[in-house]
Amino acid sequence: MTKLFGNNELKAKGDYSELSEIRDFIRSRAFASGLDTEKIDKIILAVDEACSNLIHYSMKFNHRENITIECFNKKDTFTVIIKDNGTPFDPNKNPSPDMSEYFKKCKSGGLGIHIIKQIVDKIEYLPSDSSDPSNKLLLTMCSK
Amino acid sequence: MENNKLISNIYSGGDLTIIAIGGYLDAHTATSLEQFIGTEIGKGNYKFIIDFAELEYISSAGLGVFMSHIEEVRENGGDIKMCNMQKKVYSVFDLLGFHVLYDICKEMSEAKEKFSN
Repeated sequence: MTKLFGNNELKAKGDYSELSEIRDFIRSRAFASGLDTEKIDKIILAVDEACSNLIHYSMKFNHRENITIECFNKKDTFTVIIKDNGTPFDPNKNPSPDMSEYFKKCKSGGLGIHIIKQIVDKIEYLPSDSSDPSNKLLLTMCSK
Repeated sequence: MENNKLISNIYSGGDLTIIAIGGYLDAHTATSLEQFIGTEIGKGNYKFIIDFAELEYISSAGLGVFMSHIEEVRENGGDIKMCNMQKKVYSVFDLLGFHVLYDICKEMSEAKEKFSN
């Protein structure tokens, strides 16, 4: 089960069944931030893709592992911070796939990061270090 | 709360298998649809129409369901045609160019007609 900490923080375990509550959480916070419907749909999809990847590759479906999701508003931006404790992985360093090759080979999967890059306005990544054991992925949507 | 009953209806007519899907197609729910289509292919059914009318959401895991079967059905003279897609779902297909790969019809009648030609 996901757990809500305060208004703007959610903890989710390493299971795809958590995705529904994660999307509900982002939907409500993004709506409250004043983002328009199209941008709300986009940030929900981006967070879903990021969390799906973390549940699979970082948490390896381990129910004892958690990710923490926080939302922040600034004047014209809505930012989601996703924290995990797995091996650092910076999506900005992941090369974009050649989609024509992808279609030719009828591949399946591996498009999550590509989708995130297409739809959010800013992606930042802060890997864990000696002062903080969590990796932080920041996904930002601009409201204007 | 999201309603997550993914496969809302299944019906067959002639050699067509029509699957109406609804709710949210994500990494959690994709497996059941992928297995369902796989089972139908195993029975020798290769002509699918997916009715997206009630589908509210799709992620890349959902796109992957159709990618994992499209080659096999086309090699066997079939296809996975799609219809009644909401704009917000179509935009995810459009985002990565999947709208070119699949036959996405506006309405069910158009999808059926294309199979009969």
